[in-house]
Amino acid sequence: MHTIKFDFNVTECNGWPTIAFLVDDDTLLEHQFTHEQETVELPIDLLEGEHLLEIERTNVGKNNTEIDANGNIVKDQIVELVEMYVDDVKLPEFFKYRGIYHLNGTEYPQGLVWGGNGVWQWNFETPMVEWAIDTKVDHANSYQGINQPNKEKIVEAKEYFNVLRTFLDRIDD
Amino acid sequence: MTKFNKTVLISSAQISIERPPAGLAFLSGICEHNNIDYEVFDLNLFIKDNVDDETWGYLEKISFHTQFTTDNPETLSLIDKITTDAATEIMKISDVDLYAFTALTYVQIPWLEKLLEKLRPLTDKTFIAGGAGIGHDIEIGKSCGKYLGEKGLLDYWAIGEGDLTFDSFLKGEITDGINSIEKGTDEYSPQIDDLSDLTLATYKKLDIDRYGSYKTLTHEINLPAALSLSTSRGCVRRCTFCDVGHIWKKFRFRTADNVAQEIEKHYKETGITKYFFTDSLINGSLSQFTRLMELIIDLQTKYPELKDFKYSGQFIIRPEKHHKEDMYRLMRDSGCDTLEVGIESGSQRVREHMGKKFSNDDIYYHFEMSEKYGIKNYLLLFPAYPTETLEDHNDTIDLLKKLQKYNISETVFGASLHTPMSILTNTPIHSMMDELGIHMSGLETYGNTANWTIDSNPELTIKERYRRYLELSDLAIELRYPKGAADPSQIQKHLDELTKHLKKQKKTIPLKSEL
Repeated sequence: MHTIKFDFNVTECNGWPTIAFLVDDDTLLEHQFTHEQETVELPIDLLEGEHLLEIERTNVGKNNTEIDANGNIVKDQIVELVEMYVDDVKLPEFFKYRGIYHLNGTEYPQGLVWGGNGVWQWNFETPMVEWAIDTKVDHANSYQGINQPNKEKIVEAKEYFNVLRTFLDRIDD
Repeated sequence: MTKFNKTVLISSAQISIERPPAGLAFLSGICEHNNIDYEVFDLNLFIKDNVDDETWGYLEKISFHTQFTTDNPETLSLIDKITTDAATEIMKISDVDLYAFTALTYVQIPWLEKLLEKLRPLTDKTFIAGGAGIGHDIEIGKSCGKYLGEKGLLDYWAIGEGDLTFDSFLKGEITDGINSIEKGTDEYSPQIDDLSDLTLATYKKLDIDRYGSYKTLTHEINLPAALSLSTSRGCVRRCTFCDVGHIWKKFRFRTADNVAQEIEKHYKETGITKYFFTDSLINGSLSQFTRLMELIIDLQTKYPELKDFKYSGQFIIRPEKHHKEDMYRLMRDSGCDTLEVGIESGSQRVREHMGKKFSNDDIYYHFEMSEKYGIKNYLLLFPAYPTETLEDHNDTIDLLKKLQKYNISETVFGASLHTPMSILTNTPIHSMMDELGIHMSGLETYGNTANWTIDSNPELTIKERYRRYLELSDLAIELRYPKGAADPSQIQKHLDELTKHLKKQKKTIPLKSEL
């Protein structure tokens, strides 16, 4: 059981936005915003493996965007994803940029500001903490030039322990 | 004895080259204060420059306590060559009338001894050594300094705080704490009550850019070097497994203003903005810690480049009523980067016996605050404390599992699980041996983990202690604790210990092909 937490910045325009949270096509939560900054918690209890989280914006109409005489947007109903947390631990920034926003048949990689009736898709795995740590390590090794322990190093370390175990097995209490 | 005119300050090996040796900076400061010409030589760096990474790693494994543990002729010949070359390099410095050696820890004694063996025949000038490694007991009642003195390798050795004794020594005075065979002493200098009037260290002559990289079993890091800085000596706790209370009888601290002055001095001299506080506890005095953080923020306003200021150190967890959220906010704002936190065990019962005064709730509060304010933590833990039951051990397993999530954000960035409990002399637990029914089978290998048994907790056999150690080490790796679950040199030392134990039990040592 994990709780994914989301911090949102929201703007109102002839009403507050609504979003729905789906995991693997199953709607887990619908949320009606009422404030400019809100945190939403999504408890999940999933089988081990790969999953797809979708955050869907619904009920966005023409009246949720106000345009002046020159065609400039003067007010809009917007949802922006600011931070994500797993069990109250903030995920590093790059995690949220792994999501893709789909709107009117177009994909917007790294799109975190959602205006129309679109859906933001984000892949993850469970157990979530191990997945998040491994993903962070892979990211650090790829992009930050820091050699963090990857799965191969973990296997290597365990081999050392097994050598010690062989010695230990021969010792009497 | 007359005043000295020129000295070479020499730091021994072999330790990580994460930071330039604080001992050299400390001695440099005193030389400057006395207007004495000086040069610095770091044997550690010299070795690193002259061997490849693999050899460096191998050399790390073959010293234990105060001795090299190898009889491999090739290795001994390599050590001989390195120290001969280092001695030649040191002797190139002219007009020297004093050679001052520093050993941060007893681990540096084997290299120091070899270097002294090469240097001593080359000059009749004065040799003095100091540092915590020199004051360490090589055997009960005999310091490493005395051991080297008896071998004719040192003229003098300083034990305890060298601030005043080395200062006097440079002027040609032998004060309490400066020992020699002739004087017949092997004693500590009197403790200094006021640390704020002491001479400040200087890193001016150290090649700071050469430090900062290190490797462990599972990772390799290249970071800018950090400077060491001490704000206090001693500790506000008397944890039963620790000998700091023996070395520093009383906890004393420098005023925050004095520490801030040193930070400003180092910044002006070196431009360095990363610091490692060497204190037993960075927050030993909460009032001075708070004041220091405020002063660091003032310095950051004065010098905009100090916005990058980062510091690390050892930290004690306290209940929330002592560590309010404001303190964590101030830590973030003043550049607190990483903390080494001595949790030691997940069992509250065990920690109570150790003399740690915080609960599991206090631990979770600390990590919640650290997460909120972006402070990274390195957990210090060890299994098999003498009173530890299986239930206590399982509490540590539970703690590791509960804190795992913080590895995502690096609020936890590692867990030190280097060794099962070893009983050190000069610790409170050592003086409880009769009470607990602890029996030790000799101190020939200091830091030995396999040389004790306990009547009051018979389930805690050597085998069981190692079983718990391996269980926690495996778990830490499984849970992705990234740093320090164990390192190859430690594993080798454990193998040596278990090999001795197998021999004692007349068992067959596993062959390489069986491993």
